[in-house]
Amino acid sequence: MDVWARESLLMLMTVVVTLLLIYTLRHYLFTLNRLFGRQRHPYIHIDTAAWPSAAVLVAAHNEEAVIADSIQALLQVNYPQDKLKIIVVNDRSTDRTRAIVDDFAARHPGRIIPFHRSGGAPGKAPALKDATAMVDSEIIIVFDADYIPGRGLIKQLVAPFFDPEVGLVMGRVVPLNTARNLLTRFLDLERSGGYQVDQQARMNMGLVPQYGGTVGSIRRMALESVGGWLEDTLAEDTDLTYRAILAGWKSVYQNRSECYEEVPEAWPVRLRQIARWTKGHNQAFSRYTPACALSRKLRLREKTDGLLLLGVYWMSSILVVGWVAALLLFYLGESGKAALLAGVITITAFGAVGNCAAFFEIGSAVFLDQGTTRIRLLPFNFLNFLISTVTVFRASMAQLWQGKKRAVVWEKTERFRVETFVMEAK
Amino acid sequence: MWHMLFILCALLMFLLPLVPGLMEVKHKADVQPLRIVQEYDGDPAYFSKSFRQWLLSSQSALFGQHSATEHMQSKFHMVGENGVPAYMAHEIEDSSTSRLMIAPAMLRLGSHMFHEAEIYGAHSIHTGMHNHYRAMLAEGDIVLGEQCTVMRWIHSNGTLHAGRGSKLFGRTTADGSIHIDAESTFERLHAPRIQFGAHADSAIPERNAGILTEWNAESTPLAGTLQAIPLIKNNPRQRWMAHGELHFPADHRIQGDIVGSSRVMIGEGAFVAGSVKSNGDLHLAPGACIDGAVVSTGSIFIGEGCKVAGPVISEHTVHIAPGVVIGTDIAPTTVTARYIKAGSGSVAHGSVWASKGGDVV
Repeated sequence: MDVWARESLLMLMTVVVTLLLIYTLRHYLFTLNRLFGRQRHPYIHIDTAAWPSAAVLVAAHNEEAVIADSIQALLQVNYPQDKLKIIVVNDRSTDRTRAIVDDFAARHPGRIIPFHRSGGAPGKAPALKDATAMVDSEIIIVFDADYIPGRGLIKQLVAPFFDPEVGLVMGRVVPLNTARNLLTRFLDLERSGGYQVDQQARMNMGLVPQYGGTVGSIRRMALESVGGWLEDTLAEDTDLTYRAILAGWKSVYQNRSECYEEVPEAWPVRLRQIARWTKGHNQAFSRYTPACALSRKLRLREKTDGLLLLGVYWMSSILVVGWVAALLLFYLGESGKAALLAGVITITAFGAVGNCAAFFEIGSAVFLDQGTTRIRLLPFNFLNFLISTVTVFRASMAQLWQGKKRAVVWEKTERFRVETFVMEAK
Repeated sequence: MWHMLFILCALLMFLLPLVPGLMEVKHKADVQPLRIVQEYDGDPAYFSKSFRQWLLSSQSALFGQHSATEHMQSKFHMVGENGVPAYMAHEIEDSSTSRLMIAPAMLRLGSHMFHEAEIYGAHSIHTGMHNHYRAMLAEGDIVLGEQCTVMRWIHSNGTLHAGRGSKLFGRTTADGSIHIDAESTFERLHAPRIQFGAHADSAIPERNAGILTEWNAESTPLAGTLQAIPLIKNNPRQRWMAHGELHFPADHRIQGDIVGSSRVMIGEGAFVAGSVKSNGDLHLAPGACIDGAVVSTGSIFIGEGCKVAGPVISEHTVHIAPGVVIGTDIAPTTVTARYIKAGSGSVAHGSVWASKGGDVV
């Protein structure tokens, strides 16, 4: 019995370590590509063209703290006015969001179109579905209400659609409230790693840059050809990314299409956000893993990256299983192989969990962003890593436990902004 | 005692790597968000507009009483009404001037001079040969002599003509048109009309798209496969997916976008009412006409007399043959690639951006 248990645990740990090594290798590949590889920005220089019609959908639910800044910034973009519709999707707000949106609509008739949603399923995906039905624009651009686009951003997010193969475009998200506290500074580092290195490396290597649900755009034809927005999804962005690539569309990341966002300033808000992302991502994992593995439209490298991306939120749980197995082996008296495997787990864990970018990836991203002393916070990111691991693990276990019984519940991220954002002068 | 010392040392070892981080938390030295220039809108004439704005805001200082001071004269060169600059002795000796030149009338510049500062002409500017300029703005036309070099930007409110062998680094823009003679190099060009080299009528006869044969798989088999992907129910628009290399036949037309998994070749005189994308090199045979964009992960070869309505996007090189027309007067577009080789006699409307370098061949 003792031997059987030890052998089983060793085998389990070997599987865990193998998976961790694969994810770590992936992070190294991305980082090395970003530092030394050829960088792809094929669409960023398109400044003159017959621009297609585009609709900006601003998803808003109780956004009185931030919505005015977002609308104000959208009014200043340089996209041809006759081709652009700005639709603020006010989904059952109970604060002053409605009044603020109506005020803008009255002052800018025809440019700001309010869509006050009072019925239907709750959540971002159903709201976007209803709003999309209102417009006939060729391109749908999605922003969350706390995002502040620059003047040229809309053109940058539309330009890749001149490529008939492109179905989805993702821009770069940059935290605005970095100075608030240690959490916002952690998130700034994490976002840097995720976008500056992860997403751009995927773009460079022809893999699967992920459409992130905001600061992103969708070809309407691609959206309709894959069945539109699905209401029963917790991560409409991941869900749409996979449906689109499985139908033969490509996703594109534009690293220089940057947009400010507000990141959570309180840990409970952050934990809820991670839990929501985990559940949404895991939902996509169960839906699209077989299709991704068997797809004939994806190249091998796209399949591999797609599968690894789908499984990324399960890695926290796998890591915890690895830790538990290591402990059990220790108490069962196994030392040699178990110690080696535990050592590998210790080295690789940090680079393989959830949305927590590996330390070398963050370091490279700060270097590429020409950051200076913020890199000194990197050792503290271990705290962020631990918290993320536990939160992702808990959310995954809760999701497994509840199965499909629980209805889709949308948990909105709380906003913190108290000052109006002032657009930087030239 | 020893236990306490051990714990203290262990704690110190743990905390030591965190000291720089703790200092950063305390002093917040690098806490500002990543800088995004919210106002930047990709305007190709951004620098010339900023320069003009600066000139307007500095007008009183430049043209007021202070302008006669020695200090001002050492920094600015106000050209007289005759339009001929009066260089200082050491400038003539060095063949170089570091003064910002301002000309209220038509400006005529000589040859073999290095201008380290900007040049502003309230009217047109005509220059000699073998000059170097940092940047130049004219409210009228600009004519650059042969073998001139512009290092940062040049803008004309009218037409801009760069002589043979010019080197145009940075942005070259005009509100009217740009004409670049052969053997010149460029980086970013923007104007309603850009003429490369001497005007040349194409020898390729123009096809009437209306009388071309509509392609279908039964009547005209292809080298390669082309599969129709209906996108949306009851919507006539569709994508054509080519698996492997595709040779689309000459003198045929097709409706919809073509996406090739490998090299794509569009035959002579063919018409595509949509865009073409290749994951490999893309060849447009002479006289082909594309009503949308032309996109390639490799190089794009545009044959003589071809017409492309939409953007031309290549991740390597765009080769443009003589007689090619890209974009139109009323629908300007963009050509973007790492390298662009524009044949003499080709025309583009809008922007031409070679991130690593362009040549007029």
